[in-house]
Amino acid sequence: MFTNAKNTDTPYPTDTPMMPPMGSSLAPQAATLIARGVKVEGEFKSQGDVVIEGDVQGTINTVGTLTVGSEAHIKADVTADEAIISGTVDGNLTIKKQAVLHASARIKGDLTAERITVESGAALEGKVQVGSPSIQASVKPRSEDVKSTPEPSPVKAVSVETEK
Amino acid sequence: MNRLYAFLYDDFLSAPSYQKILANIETRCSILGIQGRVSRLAIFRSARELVENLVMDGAQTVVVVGNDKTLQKIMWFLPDLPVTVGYIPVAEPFGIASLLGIPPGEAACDILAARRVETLDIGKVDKRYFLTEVLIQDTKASVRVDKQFNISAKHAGTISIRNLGSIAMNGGAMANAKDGWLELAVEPILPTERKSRFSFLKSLKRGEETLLKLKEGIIESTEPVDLLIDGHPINGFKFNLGVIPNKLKIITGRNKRLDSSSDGALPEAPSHGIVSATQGHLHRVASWWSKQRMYF
Repeated sequence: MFTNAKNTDTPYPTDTPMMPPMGSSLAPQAATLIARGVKVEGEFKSQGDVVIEGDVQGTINTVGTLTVGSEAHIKADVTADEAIISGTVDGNLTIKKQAVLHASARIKGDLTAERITVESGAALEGKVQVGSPSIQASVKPRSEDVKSTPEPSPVKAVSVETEK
Repeated sequence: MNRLYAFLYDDFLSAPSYQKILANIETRCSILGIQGRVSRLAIFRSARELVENLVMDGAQTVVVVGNDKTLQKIMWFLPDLPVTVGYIPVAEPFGIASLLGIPPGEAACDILAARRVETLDIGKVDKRYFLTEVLIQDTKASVRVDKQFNISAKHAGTISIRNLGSIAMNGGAMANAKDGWLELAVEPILPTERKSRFSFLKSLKRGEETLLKLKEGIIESTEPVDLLIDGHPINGFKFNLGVIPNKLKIITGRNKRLDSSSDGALPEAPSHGIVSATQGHLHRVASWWSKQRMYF
């Protein structure tokens, strides 16, 4: 009859649900995210994909795909399997497979990749070396430092300077 | 009385409102044959001394009766003692109990009697152990990760180093307490411009969490920072972080959520990797409410 009466036997709420399982219906995406507003300084290594939307200074080394967001600022030499760049990179990029530069990409440094795709509007100040990576596996020195040294003989070398 | 079991009651349980539930728990433990000596924590009594005396008297299982705060009161020294930990939550908060799969009240006695013992990693800040997490709020401190790089929030933000679950940052990504790693989460505060007639006001918004794994680290700051280690406040400029794998034996329930097989836990770290893959995108959805908090 009086079913609204509170049960005071237990000092804790008995109808309190246990902590809900997190993300049970969501498939996890294995990518290391450096979010906007986060700053990383030093030698950053990863065994998987990396998404950078914040600031990074130093070196970036990943065996997966590097995605640089449009608001990201990278001042680092980069080595990656693949790269999708929409932000600002100040440093040399050594990409094993494909590099994709979106319209908002701003790169100041040398780019070495097996294949590149450049969207209209992307800015690139430095040397571009495209072809099968016979390779230059280590990070190359910056273009201004290399002027006095003899040029390597790439499969296909192009020097590009574009501005929007 | 089973001398192998010792029960440690928190101070707040002496309130009359808890007498009935305690009586029920004691009866249930008696039926299950796991009743033991009862000691009570008190303000002017050393918890460490109390537990060490129980161990010297032959206790092999110390059962904490209270809430998460009771567990945290003794966790800073307990891993050094040769005991298995049991936990009977009788009051909120009991988020840790939830992670361990232990229901509140006398139902926890059955979990205790079933004695499903798990060995968990334990985190360490300088010389102090922690089970769940270290929290630094609204800080510009940086964390040096595995002697490789420093990570910090650009303007300011919350840094948490998690060993088990995500207690303080409700909705944060879960940590795996059995993988030999700590999970580092950096949640920056982002300045945003408001588009209204009061647009001269600038607001601050919580950004996404950056999640990394680490085995050792150093928290550093030029200004003094306030750390909450398992809820216990500590202040300083520099702290060493570490993780000790398989250090703590604890009795858990069937529905525990301790490792990567649990929903929401971070994926396993590669054995040879410095930084592991994380699930930042998952967290974008999972902690949406925490990102909506506005600061003026």
